[in-house]
Amino acid sequence: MTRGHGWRLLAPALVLLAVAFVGPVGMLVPTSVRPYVPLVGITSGFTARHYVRLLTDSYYLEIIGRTLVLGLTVTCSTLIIGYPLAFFLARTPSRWRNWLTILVVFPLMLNLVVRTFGWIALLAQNGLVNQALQALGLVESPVKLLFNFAGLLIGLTHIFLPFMVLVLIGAIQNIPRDVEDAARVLGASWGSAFLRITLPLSAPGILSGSILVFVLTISALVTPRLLGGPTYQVMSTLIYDEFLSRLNWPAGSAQSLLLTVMVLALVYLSGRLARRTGARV
Amino acid sequence: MTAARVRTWLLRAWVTLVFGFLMLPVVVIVLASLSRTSYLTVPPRGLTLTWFSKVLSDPEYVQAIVFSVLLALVATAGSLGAGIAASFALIRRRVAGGAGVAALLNAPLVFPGVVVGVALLQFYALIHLNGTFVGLALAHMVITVPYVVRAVTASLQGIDPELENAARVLGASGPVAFFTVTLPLIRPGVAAGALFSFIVSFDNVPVSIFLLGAGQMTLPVKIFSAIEYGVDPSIAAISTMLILLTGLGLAVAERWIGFHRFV
Amino acid sequence: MSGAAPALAVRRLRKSFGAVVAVDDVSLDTAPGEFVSLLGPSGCGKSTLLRMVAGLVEPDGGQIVLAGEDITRVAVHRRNLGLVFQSYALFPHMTVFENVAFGLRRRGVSVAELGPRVERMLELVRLGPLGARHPRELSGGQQQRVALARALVTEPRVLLLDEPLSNLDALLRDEMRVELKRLQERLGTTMIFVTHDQAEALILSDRVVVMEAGRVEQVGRPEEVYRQPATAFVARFLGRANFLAGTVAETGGAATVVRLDGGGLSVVAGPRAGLAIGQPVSVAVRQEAIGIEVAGAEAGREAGRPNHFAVTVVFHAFAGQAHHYVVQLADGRELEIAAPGSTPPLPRGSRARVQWSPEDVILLPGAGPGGSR
Repeated sequence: MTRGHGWRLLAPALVLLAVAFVGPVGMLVPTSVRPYVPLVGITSGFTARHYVRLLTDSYYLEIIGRTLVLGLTVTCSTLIIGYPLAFFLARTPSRWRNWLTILVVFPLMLNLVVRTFGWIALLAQNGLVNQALQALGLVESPVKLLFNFAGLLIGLTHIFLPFMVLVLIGAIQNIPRDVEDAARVLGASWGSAFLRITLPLSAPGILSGSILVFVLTISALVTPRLLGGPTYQVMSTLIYDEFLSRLNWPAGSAQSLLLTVMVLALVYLSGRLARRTGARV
Repeated sequence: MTAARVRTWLLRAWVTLVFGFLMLPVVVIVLASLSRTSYLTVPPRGLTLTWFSKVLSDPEYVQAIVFSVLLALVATAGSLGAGIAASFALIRRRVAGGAGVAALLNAPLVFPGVVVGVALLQFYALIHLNGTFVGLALAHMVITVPYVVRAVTASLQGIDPELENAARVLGASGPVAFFTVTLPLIRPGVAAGALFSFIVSFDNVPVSIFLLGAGQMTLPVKIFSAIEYGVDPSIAAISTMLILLTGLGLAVAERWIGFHRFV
Repeated sequence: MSGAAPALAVRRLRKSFGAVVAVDDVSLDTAPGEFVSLLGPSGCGKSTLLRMVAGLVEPDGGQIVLAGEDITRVAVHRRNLGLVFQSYALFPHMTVFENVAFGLRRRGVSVAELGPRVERMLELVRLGPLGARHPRELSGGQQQRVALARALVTEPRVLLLDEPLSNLDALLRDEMRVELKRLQERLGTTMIFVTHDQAEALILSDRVVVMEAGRVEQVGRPEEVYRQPATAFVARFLGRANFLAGTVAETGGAATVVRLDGGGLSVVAGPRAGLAIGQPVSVAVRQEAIGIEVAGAEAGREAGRPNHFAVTVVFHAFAGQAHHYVVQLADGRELEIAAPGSTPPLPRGSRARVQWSPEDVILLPGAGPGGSR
């Protein structure tokens, strides 16, 4: 008596996603194979040119490579910085734990543009970081921290650290404490109990946190745009310029679809991997 | 000192450093907003609140704030309606292919925002929805509905389905049982979903920036363009206001519904 | 059952979940004011049967008739039945008063009438002063009473109870049993009570319906199902029995004699019709029906009397109310015995004598002890 009911309740959400998400993204496919003539616009016909250029032209390859390397380094840095924090928050008996967790959530909830703006103030030529470095005598003249890889790495690490920490907290909380205690009783040192028990058992969290941060990093637009400027491009900013400045929608569509495929492939693979490891644990 | 104590102190030191890193830009913005100088500088030179009054008397900022709030409210209302119904169907009704539906509902969480933006830019141009408030609101519902589904689903899973059965046996029809028993019980999840939804919509740049029509401006896109144009303390002032409001909202949400359970 | 129309009748009810048949062609009549238990192990279909009656599970086939009205397709909320859940399912966001008032509000009972009715019901279950509390502020037993009050206040035609006592600790359970029975006698409500606890079913019920694998094994008064189980399953499920396989050796007016397989021992049972000589049967003797005493000098002289056997004690444990023994017969067969705890214990290795009366022997035709029916 409740069977048909389910679909009726799902209908509004499904229609919304079909009309304003799946359909429009799908319509990028035909656009991506249309020829584009400067000053004229999109013409009819078929061309694979946008894809060929994207995958052979060294300009595009450099941007794609930079995006992926950025994704990888940001993932690693959030993992290294975040794991101890997550471990602490998952295990501390402190009554402040919930508030400390909220303190991790706070930057996440804070406007992305605002957070990035803070890093502009920090990383600028005369910003706080350079002032500090010079005051400490570590550098002679200001270091360039904006509009390059270093700036993006710092900014994006900050932006996505909370995601990693929150996923890891969940994973570490799910590890039963007595498993670790058992290892200790059986003679393992704290270090080897951590390396052999805790770390492997938190692997599913490390995996999903890493995939999440990687995917978000290669999709990010605001932070790379503001910290990288119009010249130091990543895939998202490339798509942004293609659609809004160069008006080459077919090329932009091809770039969008490549980014989409990369994201979906990663999410799909991680799902399969999680099921495999999940079955084993 | 024992090894265990050394470890504890090292961990605490690291945690303090990381929290410092997380809060650094926030502190810098607040400080910069107080500077008397017309350029951005930290620590501030002299203290003033003039940048705040400058922003609040700037009609462009005020209009952007009003527009953003309105958009976020409409998007949140839509997401709540669609999201609560969908969550209920997924948890309480056996729907064939429910896992696939759940994956689709969550997809916008990891989907590149910029791709959603350009896809809708093209689509709306085709169906003449470009530059309309309706189009923008629909786009925001797409990106906020997963947050509602996630929070409400988590809440629903904690509610004994027998409660609804009990209500029905006692004479409540399906809808009456939902509104008298289930909905009051999942209120924390609904509130968390609404808060998420509002913030995600209010913060969005990558989708909005492609869809805003002439005369339309959201606050984050306004700040985004302002920064590209050149930074000054008025941006720090509006940012400080957002920091304070976000902090206040989170603190209230934590006290009221234990918000950390829903992140 | 009297000639009155059944308060609730279930006719050929069926329900499968995928390949699993949960309820298989079950029919049942309940007289007005009767207390009927559905007894069986978990997964036997008793809860599914109850939920079909309540309307929470849709039957694949069959009919449910409430006081002459076919309610098989009537929506849950229009059936006017009471249901007490195993988890109580009290609304945690409402006070005790609001919980009890919920059903009355759905029926549009006027505010003036509502208050007194709820109060009266709370008095009846001895919760008078607790109306303003929330369920979480109550003990398990009190929550149980709220669930009862909530289900009874609308004066349902039939009250269904789904293992309502299983979440209480042993002491409270005994107390609630008495209370439930007295409440039923006072209100005269027809009650259908699902349980896996045989003692509970025997104590509370006018009739017991024993179920297994979706089917009804036996329906009868508590003494009937206990003393004359129709199948090996019922004998096994109600009380602890020893099962011995044999063949019928003698039938007659006064007694039935069964020769046990693989030995010269015979068991004498009361007269029983419908058995042929040479027919394989299973003999069941309840543990508490077997008397045990130390073997005296006269042991040899009495060896010939029916159902008297010389044994050796191979295991003994004291469990308060009873001594548990495992004894070995001359042919190596073992019997389990529960002797009254007040008797002096017989240590392991003792030579002893066991006996039971022919009336306590249960004869189950056909299958041996392993078969379920």
